[in-house]
Amino acid sequence: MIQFTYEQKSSIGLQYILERLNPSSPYGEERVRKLRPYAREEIEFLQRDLDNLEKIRMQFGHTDLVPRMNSLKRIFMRMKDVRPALKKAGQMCLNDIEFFELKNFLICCEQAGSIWNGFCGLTGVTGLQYEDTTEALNLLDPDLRRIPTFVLSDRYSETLAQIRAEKREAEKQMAAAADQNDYEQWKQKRHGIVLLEENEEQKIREYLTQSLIPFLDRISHNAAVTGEIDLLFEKVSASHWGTVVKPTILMDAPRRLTLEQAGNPWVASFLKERGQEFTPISISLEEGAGAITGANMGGKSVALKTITLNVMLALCGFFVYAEQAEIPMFDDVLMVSEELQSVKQGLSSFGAEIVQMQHVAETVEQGFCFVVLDEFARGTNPEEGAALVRAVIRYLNTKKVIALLVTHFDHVAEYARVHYQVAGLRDMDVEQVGHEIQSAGREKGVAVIARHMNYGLFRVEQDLDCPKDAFRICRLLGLTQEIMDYLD
Amino acid sequence: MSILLDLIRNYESVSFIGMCKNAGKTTTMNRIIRELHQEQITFAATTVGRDGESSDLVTNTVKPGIFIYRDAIIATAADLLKHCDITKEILDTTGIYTPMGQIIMLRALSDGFVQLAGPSITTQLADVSKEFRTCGVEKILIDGALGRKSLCTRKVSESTILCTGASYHKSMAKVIGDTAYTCELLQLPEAEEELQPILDEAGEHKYIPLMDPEARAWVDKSSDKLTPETIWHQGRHPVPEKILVQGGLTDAMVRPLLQSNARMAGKKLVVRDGSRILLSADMYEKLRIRGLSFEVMESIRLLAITVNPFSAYGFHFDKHEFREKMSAAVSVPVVDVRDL
Repeated sequence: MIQFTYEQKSSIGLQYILERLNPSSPYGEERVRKLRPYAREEIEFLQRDLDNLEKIRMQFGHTDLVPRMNSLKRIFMRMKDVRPALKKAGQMCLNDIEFFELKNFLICCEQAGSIWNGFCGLTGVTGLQYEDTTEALNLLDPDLRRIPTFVLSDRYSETLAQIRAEKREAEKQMAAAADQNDYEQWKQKRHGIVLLEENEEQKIREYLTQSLIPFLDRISHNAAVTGEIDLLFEKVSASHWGTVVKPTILMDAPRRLTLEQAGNPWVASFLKERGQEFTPISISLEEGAGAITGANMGGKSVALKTITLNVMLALCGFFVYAEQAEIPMFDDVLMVSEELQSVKQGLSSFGAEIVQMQHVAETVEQGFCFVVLDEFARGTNPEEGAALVRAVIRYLNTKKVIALLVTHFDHVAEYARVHYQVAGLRDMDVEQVGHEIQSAGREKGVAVIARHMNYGLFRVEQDLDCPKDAFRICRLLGLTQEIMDYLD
Repeated sequence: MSILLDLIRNYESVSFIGMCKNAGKTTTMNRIIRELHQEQITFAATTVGRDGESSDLVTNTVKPGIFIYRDAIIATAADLLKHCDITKEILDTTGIYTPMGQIIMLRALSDGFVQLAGPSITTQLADVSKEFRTCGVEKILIDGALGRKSLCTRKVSESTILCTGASYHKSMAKVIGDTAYTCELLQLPEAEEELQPILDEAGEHKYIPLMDPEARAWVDKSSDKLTPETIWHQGRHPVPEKILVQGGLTDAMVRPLLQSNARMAGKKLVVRDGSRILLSADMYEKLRIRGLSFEVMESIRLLAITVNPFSAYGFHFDKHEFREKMSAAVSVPVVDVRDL
């Protein structure tokens, strides 16, 4: 089962997307809150989600589509959360507030059901159906008026009707009382009647609770269906936040991960603030370990995260941000990264990485995994670090995984099955950039360099060395000549 | 029929503030409810506590029971439903939570006694009032908080009735003095100028001088901290007639002003509403003697004062004397709660 922490979701840009989802019902809200990738045995639900998304998108031109979706969302917004009441009904008598919530929910289901059927007819969406709960609703609405308020009506019991008539009489007498004494007498009498009324009302509550028990499953089902439809509509919204494609989910073979022109709405949003565009990346990975190398600030990490984001989205039943996507049905997705631990620099963060690596080693024995490592062993000395990364690559090449490592160590990528690089400053006009930094001011130097970086991902020969852009960056940022002079 | 009904006729909402417990607030409310019922005027009722005070939430928001009539609408906490002996129709759950459960909207299908507990935050109260209006009621009654720091803002209600009595203090002079001061704060005149846009741009500045009849704001971006005494310093030109104050005004804040030689005669301090003036009666009076007056951005209409000459602690005032002296000290009608 794939479980990502909040930090992991944030770092890849998944949290950004989740926070922008705006479900209308309490059931949809929970579906979003507890969103997780589908497991292998749930492939038919994953496929159903993607197929349904496709069917809805195909009808975008139809004038009725959006109004119908909005009608449903408006009904969803009125729905109360009846799950606590459903749970309670199995064991205890429900109170008036819970009956109110159930009645309200069932009226909403009735209205939603007919609109949803029309919607399915229009789009061909399958696999989600409201069950008929009319009988349950009629129990709570004996007048059949479908007004969303609730009262323990006289209709439920002759006795109750009589008691209430007596109560009204007593109240009339209280109002017409000649003196305080008279008033107090009638008040006393009324109090006795109030106790009888409460007694009778409680009997009716017990009767209603019992009578609802055969319908609890159906009501629960409708709550779940509402959550699914709500989430489906939000997935439709999310598909407007970039160029999207329906991912092809590969079940067992081939073991291949392909993304063409992949995007990341989160990164794109803050690049936009700086007046920049996100550079889409393309990658194709086979079984074994792949490596991404490249300059500092070159976007290696962002590339890794963008790939991970789209894998997660696909496995959760979303369209991915890309022009083409082939995603295998992974049993697990594992991220190893220093920054995911909130620890200080030094041995402790390295230690945390090793612990994560050990977890990877255990998990890859249990299924087909996607493993990403962001600058593994960065925090330790380069000699040992590089050796460790080489060892990890060679190890992962023997396992049933697709792995992707970002590293800046030399002589490491040659062991990987494939080698990608970010272009970085390769094509940069150094003089021009130098001038720009001078006029913009030293503090803006990093931003200027960022603008001139080529963030594209390019396939290269395995044994190609890492680009040496660090010195160039130092020069551009104006690191004091005294230090630069000592550089060879 | 009491004059109270006449007084509230023109206002959609009215709140009841007590200077203390046992001031007669419940009696007053019950009387008004009875009269509304007799005139067949539909109404809704709830309570409000003190903004942001979490420690006293329970004691401040549960009020003694009131008697309502058929077709009235109330908003109260879920836990108190069992203490309402009306036949109930549940109209809605509000999603507003209190320590006593969610606030529920009910319609009374019979007469009966109810216990009210409402939100303690004014923005939530505005939501409840909004829902009341969708039910089509003609009047909204809010059982308000206790004491001088009560919520006398228009966000709570358009008008208010202040309830006071011997339970406040054993000295009649003190009861009258403090009540008169509270009335003064509740009746501060509304500033003519459109001040919200100025506040929106004011940022963190506490004191905002208002320059001329058009009230163009003059926000000094210099690092000098602007205070009333520096703004109205003798010999400083030009001199703004009014200063807008953000937040509350305490004794400590105005002491430097009193001690300075600033010319205050004819000048005004403008606050959002009367509840922001946290000055002692003494300090307030001293400022007034120097010629300073106050205005508010949002005024609330004080309709009347009810007085209860009987103290819950066993003694009582002479009711005629109490009423006469109170009437002399305030400018609104004074009603003896026992005459209701």
